[in-house]
Amino acid sequence: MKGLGTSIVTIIIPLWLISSIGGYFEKSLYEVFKTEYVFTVEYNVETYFAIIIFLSIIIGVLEESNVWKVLGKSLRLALLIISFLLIYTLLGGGIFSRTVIVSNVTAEVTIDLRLILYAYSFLIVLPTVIATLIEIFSLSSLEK
Amino acid sequence: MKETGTLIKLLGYALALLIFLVLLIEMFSLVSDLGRENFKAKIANIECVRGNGGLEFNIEVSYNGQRVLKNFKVFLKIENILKSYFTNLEHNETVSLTIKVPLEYLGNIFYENTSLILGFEFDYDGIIPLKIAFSDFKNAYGIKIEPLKVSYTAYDSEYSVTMNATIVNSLPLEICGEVIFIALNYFKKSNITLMPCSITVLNLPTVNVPKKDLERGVEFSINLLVEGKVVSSRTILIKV
Repeated sequence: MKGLGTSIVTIIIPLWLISSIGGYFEKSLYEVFKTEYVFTVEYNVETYFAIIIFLSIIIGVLEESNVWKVLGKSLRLALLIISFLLIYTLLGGGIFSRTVIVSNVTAEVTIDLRLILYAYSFLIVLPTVIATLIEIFSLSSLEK
Repeated sequence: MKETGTLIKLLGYALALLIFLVLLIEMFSLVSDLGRENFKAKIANIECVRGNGGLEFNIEVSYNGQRVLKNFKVFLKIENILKSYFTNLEHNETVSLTIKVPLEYLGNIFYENTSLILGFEFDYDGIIPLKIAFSDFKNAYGIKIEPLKVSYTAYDSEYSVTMNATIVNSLPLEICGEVIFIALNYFKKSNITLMPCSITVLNLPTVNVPKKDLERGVEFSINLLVEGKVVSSRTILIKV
């Protein structure tokens, strides 16, 4: 359960927040410019949520076992890093660019939300990686 | 050891939450400013400078929101980026900026159809960078055909119609082309040279139009061709 909780806090909530902000921006552009351009939300985050929850449960089971504890923590670390890379790719590096048509003039609106990705990488991913590594080292030294 | 890890994690999560909240508030404010059309950028005037002067765009930008638009820039992009800077745009502030497009780029825009992009970019409250770039605004500059007046002379069953028109060349380029005039069965093709930043009066032929046709309306069409391509066109419906 603890592993699942960590995955929810470190992967699912940030991914949901970031995709919600991106989606909100797209929807707002559609409403503000009253354009007939149809925006398509390219990322289906629910599928990733399901995969991450499923993997987190399996990893969580491994973490409960005394024998597979270190392997479970290492896998959780790998899942976190893979999820970060996935979020980074899904959000196109944090720059949202969309084309709208205003009074027959084509306009490209670009918003730079890299700050969110920096905050996610330095304040969520990095501390979690450090804390997990500390846990793995302390577990390894106990076993010795 | 374990407590240190937990402390690092908690500190990171708390700071991240704070940043997410700040960004969310800023996003709401930004979208509300966009919705109320608080950002405005319009071309106030386009000045054609003869010689090697190029084209000067006078752009008026204003902000009526409550925040600060830091590093506000208006830019024109043609091949290389040309930028005009203005530092910060505060609440209820209007600023006029002038951007010059050099002569060498104008030739490419006119003859090679290179796109010209006008846009502005700023850091909303110094936090969220936003850029809006407009393209295809060629109607604002270039060559325009303007009808002046139409004169009629009535006969028994037909009218003699003479249309006067001008070609406004708002580019500092000398342009050689052909004018094609079409009205009913009339077709006239003539060579023309447009001087830089000038207005040229067109000598159009008098057309005899049957009375009943003129009552229904007759289309007079003028096209300007440069290197075989239509660069400006105007069709006027004449009716009595």
